[in-house]
Amino acid sequence: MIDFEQQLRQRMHDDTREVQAAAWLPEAALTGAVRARRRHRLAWSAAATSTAVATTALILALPGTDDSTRQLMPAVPSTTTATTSPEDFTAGEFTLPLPVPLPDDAPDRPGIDSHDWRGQIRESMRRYPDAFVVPEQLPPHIGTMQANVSNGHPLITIDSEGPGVTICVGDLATCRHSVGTDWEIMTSAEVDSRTFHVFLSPPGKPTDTGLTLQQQEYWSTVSFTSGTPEWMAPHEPNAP
Amino acid sequence: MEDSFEQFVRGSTTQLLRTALLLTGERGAAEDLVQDVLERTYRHWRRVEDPHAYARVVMARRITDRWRIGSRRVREVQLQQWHDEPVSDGTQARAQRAGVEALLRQLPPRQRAVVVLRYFEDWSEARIAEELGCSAGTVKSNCSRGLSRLRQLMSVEDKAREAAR
Repeated sequence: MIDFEQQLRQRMHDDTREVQAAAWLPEAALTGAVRARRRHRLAWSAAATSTAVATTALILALPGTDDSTRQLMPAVPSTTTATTSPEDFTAGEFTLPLPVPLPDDAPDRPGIDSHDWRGQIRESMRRYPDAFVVPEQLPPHIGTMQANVSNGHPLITIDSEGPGVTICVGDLATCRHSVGTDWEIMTSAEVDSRTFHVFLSPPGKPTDTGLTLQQQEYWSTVSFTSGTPEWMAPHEPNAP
Repeated sequence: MEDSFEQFVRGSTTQLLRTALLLTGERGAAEDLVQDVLERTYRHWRRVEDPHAYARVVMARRITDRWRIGSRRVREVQLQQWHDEPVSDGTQARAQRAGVEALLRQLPPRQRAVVVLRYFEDWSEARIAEELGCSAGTVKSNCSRGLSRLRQLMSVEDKAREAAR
């Protein structure tokens, strides 16, 4: 009598023996690998460009400055001494790091992994500990997260599949001024004595349908923290 | 690099799909998983010494990731045949009974992963524990419970077939 384990092993092989990958599958995988890399590169170059444009616009719009008096030195953060570098960008009172590229052999982690967006958030929170809160867990379909400055106010923007959300620490009027008056509020709460609001980014194009009910539920129920959650741990090299 | 990766993809996609089908229980989900795994393998290709082993490790880890968020995932229904030519999904081999993936689908995710890796991929319990990030004892108990449940399901299946004769 064949023992059950052997019978099961045989059946798994028998039942899958005729399974063949369709011709399109390896082609899609080969195309997809290249396309995914290109998409990640484009996403980050777009982010860097928009950041540079926004930074320039903010510097030009600073009150009381003109061509003769404008100082283009990085602003010094108010809460900690910042170590600035060419990878930093300055907007208003804030000098934040830009995400640095990760090596190709960086370990697989959720989200776009061509740039170290976790490190960018971590460093931003270290420089300005009162300015940000983050979710304790990442949303299931995380793309990227980035610390930004809009209208002089620091924000965390989170991109996933489809429209993302923006987290703003501060009173509602300040946050509305920063993100825009037509942004829908998903959540308002307080954590570690900081009031914050989570705004739903407006659809980027007419065909966008907004967050799904499950995604909305996620942002309504996830816990937030001003600390450094587990997902923010630095990359460790050489893990498969 | 591009040539050798292409050779790997063309030579291993079907076998990876078979494992993925047992792990996910759905053809569409299995194809998605294989594409994910191949894309990640490509990104690490320069450092990969054994791509076949590496792809299975990535698959095992992706599976536990997927199941962690699986309750949020909408089950897909195929509305259109995408393939240009008919592709066998093993129907001929199991005309008289349900496919084993249908039975596996009735196991909790971690039990299913352990059973497939142990009896289809022939991984040792120690290796499964290492790759799934759990203890050997957890692997052993998941495997035991999974086998017990499968034995029960297959027994019911056998009785139903005998009654139909």
